[in-house]
Amino acid sequence: MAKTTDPRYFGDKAAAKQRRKLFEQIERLESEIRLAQETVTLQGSLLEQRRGRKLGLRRANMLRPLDRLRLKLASPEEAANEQLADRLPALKKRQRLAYRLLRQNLRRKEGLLDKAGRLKDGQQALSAAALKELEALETAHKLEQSSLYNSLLENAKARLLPQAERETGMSRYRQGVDDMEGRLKRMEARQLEKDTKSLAAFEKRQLEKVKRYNARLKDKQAKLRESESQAEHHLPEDVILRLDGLSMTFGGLKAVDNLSFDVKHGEIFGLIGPNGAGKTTVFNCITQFYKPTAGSILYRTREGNVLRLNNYEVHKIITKGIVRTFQNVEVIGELSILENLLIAAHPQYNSSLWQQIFNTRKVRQEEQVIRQRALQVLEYCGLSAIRDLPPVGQPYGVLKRIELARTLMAGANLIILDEPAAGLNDQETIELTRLIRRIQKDYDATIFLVEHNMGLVMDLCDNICAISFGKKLAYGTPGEIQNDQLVQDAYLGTSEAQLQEVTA
Amino acid sequence: MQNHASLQPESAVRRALKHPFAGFLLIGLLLLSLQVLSILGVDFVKSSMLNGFASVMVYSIVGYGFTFLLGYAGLASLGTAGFVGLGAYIAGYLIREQPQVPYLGVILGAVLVSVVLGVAVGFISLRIEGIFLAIVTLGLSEIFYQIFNNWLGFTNGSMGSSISKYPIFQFFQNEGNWLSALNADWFARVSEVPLLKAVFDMKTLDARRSFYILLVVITVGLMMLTYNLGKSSTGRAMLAMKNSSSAAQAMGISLLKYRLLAFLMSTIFAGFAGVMFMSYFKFSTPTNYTIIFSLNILAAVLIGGSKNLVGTFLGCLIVFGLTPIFLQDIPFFRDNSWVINVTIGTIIILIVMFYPGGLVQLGQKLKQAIHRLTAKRRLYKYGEDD
Repeated sequence: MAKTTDPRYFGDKAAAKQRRKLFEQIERLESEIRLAQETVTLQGSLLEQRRGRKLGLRRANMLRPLDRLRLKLASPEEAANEQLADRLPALKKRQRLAYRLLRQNLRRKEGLLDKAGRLKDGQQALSAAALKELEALETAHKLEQSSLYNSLLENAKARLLPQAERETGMSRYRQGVDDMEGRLKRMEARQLEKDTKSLAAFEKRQLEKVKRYNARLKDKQAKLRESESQAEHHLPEDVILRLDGLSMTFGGLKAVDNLSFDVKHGEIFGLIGPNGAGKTTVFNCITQFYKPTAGSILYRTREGNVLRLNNYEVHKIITKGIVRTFQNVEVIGELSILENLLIAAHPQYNSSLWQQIFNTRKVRQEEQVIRQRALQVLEYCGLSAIRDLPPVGQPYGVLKRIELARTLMAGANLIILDEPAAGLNDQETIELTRLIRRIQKDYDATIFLVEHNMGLVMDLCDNICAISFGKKLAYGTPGEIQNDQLVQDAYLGTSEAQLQEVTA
Repeated sequence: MQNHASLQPESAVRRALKHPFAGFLLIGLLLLSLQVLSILGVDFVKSSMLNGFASVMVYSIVGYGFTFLLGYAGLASLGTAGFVGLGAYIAGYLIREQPQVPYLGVILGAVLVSVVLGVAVGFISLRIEGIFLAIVTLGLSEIFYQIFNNWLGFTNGSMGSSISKYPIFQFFQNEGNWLSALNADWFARVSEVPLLKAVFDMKTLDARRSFYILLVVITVGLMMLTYNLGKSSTGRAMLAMKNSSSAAQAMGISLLKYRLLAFLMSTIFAGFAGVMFMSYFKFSTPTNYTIIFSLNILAAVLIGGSKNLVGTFLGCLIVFGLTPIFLQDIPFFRDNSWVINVTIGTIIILIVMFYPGGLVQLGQKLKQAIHRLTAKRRLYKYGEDD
C-alpha cells in the first residue's frame, strides 16, 4: 500500500477543487432528473384521484332527484324502510339521551348519586315506582319509533304513483339512470382526455427538462473522467473504502495510529476493539467530523468514481452516499418521524430560498415527491404506523430503526453504524440484525459497523478488523479474529510485557 | 345504495379555517376592522389604541425574524435593539436629509446595511454559542446605542431623529402625477358606495391611517412568507441544527449556511421593522433601543411559543401592546403607571412558569380543559352511559 506522504494522494489542489465542483453539479443534475421523472408519475396518480373524487361528487348530485323518483316507484314498505334507515339512528340517539336524563333525575331524587353525578357504591337499585316510570318512557319511545314508521309508510303510499303512471315512471327512472350513466361516462371520457392531454404536456415539459439536463450531465461526466485520470486515485474494483495510513492525534494523544484496511463492496464489515480503542474516531475521520492528521481515505461511489474523502467538507459526505448513525441516537425531537426522514433527504431538495419563501409550484412538487419516497422507506422499515408522532418517547429500538431509515432515505451506498445494538434488548437486537441484513441485500449497500456485542458482530460480519489503542491488531473473517492471540489479549488482558509490545 | 358520505365536500368555511394562513388573515382582518371602526367614528377605538396596535405590528415584524433565530436555529441574540435602531435611523436620515431618495430606496438601504451586519454576526456565531453569543450581541447592541447617542449628524443624538411627512404618500400627493389622477378617479368612484364613502373619503383618510392599513398588509404578508420558509426544507434544516448539530451535519446540512441565514433573517426583519417604525411614528430616540427592548423581543417570542407566528404576534401584543391599548384607559393604571410594568411582568412570569411552551401550549391546554369540562357536565346531567 502506498505511503501517506505519496504526492499522488494529494494531487493538484486546483484540480481537486474542480473535481469537487463537477461532482456537485453532477449530483444536482441527477437529482433534478430523478425529481422530474418522479413528478410525472405522481402527477398521473394525483390527476386520477382528483378525477375520481370529482366524478363521485357529480354522481351523488345527479342521483338525488333520481332517488326521489325511485322511492315513488318502489313498494311503500320498501320506501318507508329505506327512509327509516336514514332517520332512525338520530331518533334513537335523541331518545337515548332523554332516557338517560330521566334516569339520572330519578336517581338523583332517590339520593343514589354523589356530587359529580356518579352512582354511589352499593346503591344501584331504583325504586319500583321509578323503574315503572322509566319503562313507561321506553314504551313511549317504541311507540314513537313505530309511529315514525307508520307516518313514513303513509307518506310513501300517498306519494305512490297511480298504476297508470307507474309504467311511464319506471321507464323515466330507467331512462334517467341510463342518462346519468351515459353522461357520467362522457364526462369521465372528457375529463380523462383533458387529464391525459395535460399529463402529456406535463410529461413533455419534464422530459424536455430531463433531456436538457442529460445533455449537460454527459458533458460534465466527460469532464469528470478526464479529471479522474489526472487525480490518479487508485482503488481495486471490489474495494469501496480504503483507509490508508490514517492517523488522528488530539494534542499528544494518538487516537488513531497509522491504520490501514479495506472494506469490500457489498460486505458487512465490523470494526471492533476494547473501550477507547479509537473506533468512533475512525468513523468521525471517515465522515470528516474530524480532519485526519495524516493519511488518506479513498472511497468508490455508486457510479464508480474514486474520491479522496479528506478533500470534502463534513456536510458534503452524505451526497457521496456515505451515511452514518450515532452511538447515542441523534433524532430530531422537534420533528415528526416522517420529517426526520425528510431531513436526511435535505441534499435532494433543489429549490432556491426564494422559491421556498413564496412556496412555488416547484417547491410543492419537490416536497410531494420526496414525501412519497420517505413514505416508501417508512413502509420498508415498518414505521409507517407511527410516522406522524414525534420520536421523543419512542422505545430505543424504534429510534435506532429511524436512524437506519434515515440512511436509506439518503440513498446510502456505504452505511456506517456506530454501535447499532447498544441499549437494545435481545429481541430488539435480533430484529435489528434482520433489518440490517435485509437492507444490505435490498439496497445493495455496504455496511460498516462498530459494535461491542460480539455475538452480533461474529454473526453478522463478513470481515472484521480489530484495533486497540488506534493500531490494527488483526484483520480477517470472524473465525480468524476469534482465534487471534493479539485480539484475545486485548480483550481479556495481557501481561505488562505484551502490552508494551502492542503500544510501542 | 352506494354511500357517498365520504365524498361529500367539507364545508368551505371549515376548509378555509383549517388553512395555515387563516390565523394570519384573521389577525389582519381584526386589525383592519379597528381602523375602519375608527374612521367610521366609533368612540371606543381611540387613536392611542391604533398607535398601540401599529407598534405591536412593527415589533411583531422584529419578532418573526427573531422566531427564526431562536425558535428554529436555536441561537439567542440580545442585539436586536441595535439592528432595529439602525434601520430606523437610516430611514430617518435618508428621508430627512436626502429627500431625493425614493421610499423603496430607503427600505433597500436599511436592508442592505442589515445584511452586511447580519453576515458579520453570523460568522461570529459560528465560533461562539449559547450565552456567550448573547453577550457578544449585547456588546454590539451597546456599541450601536452609543453611536445613536453621539453621532449627531446622523442621529441627532439624544434629541431624537424625526421626519415631517409620511414618505410613501408624497408620490400620491404630488399634483399632476398620472398616478394621483388615476387615484382621484378611483377614489371618486369608490366613494359613491355609501359605507365605503365614509372609509375612503379623502378628507378622513389621512396619511397615518393609510400607513396603518399598509402596515397591516405588510405584517400579514410577512407572516405568510415566514411561515412558508419555516415549513420548507430550510426550516426543517434549522430545526435539525438546533436539536443536534452533528446529526444535521451528517445529513448534509451546512452549519455555516443555515446559521448565517438565521442571522440574516433576524437582522433584515429588524432593519425593515426599524424603517416601518420611523415611517409610522416619524420619531425615534436612542432610549427606544436599549437592552430592555432586546429583552422584550426575546420575552415576546418566548411567550408566543418561539416557533409559532400567531403566538409571536400575541406575545408582542402582551409585552408591547397591553399598556397603550388596554391598561392606559383604566383610571387605576393611569394614576399608578408603575403598576403597569408590575402587571405585565407578573403575566410574563406566570406564562413562562406554567406554560413553558408559550401561548401555543396555553391554547392547547385550554382546549383540553374545555373538553374535560363538557365531559363532566354531561356526566352530571345524564349520568354514565351504559
